[in-house]
Amino acid sequence: MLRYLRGRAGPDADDLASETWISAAQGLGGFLGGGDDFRAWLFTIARHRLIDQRRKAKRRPPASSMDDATTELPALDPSPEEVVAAASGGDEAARRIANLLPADQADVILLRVVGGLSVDEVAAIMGKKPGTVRVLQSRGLKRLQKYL
Amino acid sequence: MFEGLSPEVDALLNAAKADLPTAQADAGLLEAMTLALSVDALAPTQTPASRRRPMLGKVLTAKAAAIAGVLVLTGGVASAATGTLPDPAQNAASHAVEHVGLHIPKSDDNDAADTDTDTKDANEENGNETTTTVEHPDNHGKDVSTVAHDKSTTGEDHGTAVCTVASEGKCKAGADEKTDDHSGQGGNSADHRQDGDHEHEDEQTTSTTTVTPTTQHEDGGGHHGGDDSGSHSSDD
Repeated sequence: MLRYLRGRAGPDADDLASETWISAAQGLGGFLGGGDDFRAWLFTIARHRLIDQRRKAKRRPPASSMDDATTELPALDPSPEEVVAAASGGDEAARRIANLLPADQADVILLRVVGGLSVDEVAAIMGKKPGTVRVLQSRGLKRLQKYL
Repeated sequence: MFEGLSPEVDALLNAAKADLPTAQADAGLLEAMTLALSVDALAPTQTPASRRRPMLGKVLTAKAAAIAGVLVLTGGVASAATGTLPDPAQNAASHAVEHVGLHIPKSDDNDAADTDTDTKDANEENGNETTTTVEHPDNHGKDVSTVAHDKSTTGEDHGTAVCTVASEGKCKAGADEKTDDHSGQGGNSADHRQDGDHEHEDEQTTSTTTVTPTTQHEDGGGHHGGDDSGSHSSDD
């Protein structure tokens, strides 16, 4: 869960993980199910916290032009070797996937790979149909093959 | 998991799921965590539920108390109004509603009312004025009816007595026939008397009724005659 959040939220992942666990502890009384259900439920909470964090970020005042110039540098297309080398760490690989893919596709790939969840579980977490999840997964993989 | 991927994508995906804690795939450990968290989180998770149920209970209790209070008040006021409460409760209810302008008889009012009625009857039998009984507004109709049905007086005296009681002493029925200014009131008092005596006063009723229109006619005729004569004379 923490790797999923690090891939999707970057430096705010630890805070989101803390909020996720707090929410899980508060709502654990109403949870029914086994280990797999608990994992899917935990990722559902984590994704909701992530969405809330994105909404809060949108309401923040925009940064100055100097900050944008210093923080956003033009990205060069890395070679496959550089990609693999950069993704030697699990968190870096997850972050790379999230950076290369749109949000929905990154969610599907990370939940499937990092979370180890099935298509149906990912569909339940994202509130989409399993067919839609399969389409997003296929498009995400094609996009990764295109960029790598 | 995925087939037909390029080596780069496969390496990236494998790297993404590498070094994951083994506990993540251990369902038994997750179940143990779930159980432990459920035990630890039992108290904080019960707080919202325990706060909702008493809230619902409070609302229901408040509604039940309000309904019970309305029923008790309604029944109590009704019982107090009819004077059927026990004496201490009747006195307390009477004292309480006096502040809001309502009159509920006290426990000794029934006895007092009976005593007043007896006294009034005795006074009427002795020919005394019954205006003192008019001071009780609740018994005004009863007083008027009693005087109207009293057979100790007849004729003008009876009508005057009824009129006096009915108008709370403001009636001038005795002076009407002398001045002829308010012949209608004299007729009305006679009508009151007529209502009180259906059998024995027919002749007097007829005579009074006959006299009254005559008086009115004389008054009106006099005025109209004067006007008419004046107009005719002016026309002529």
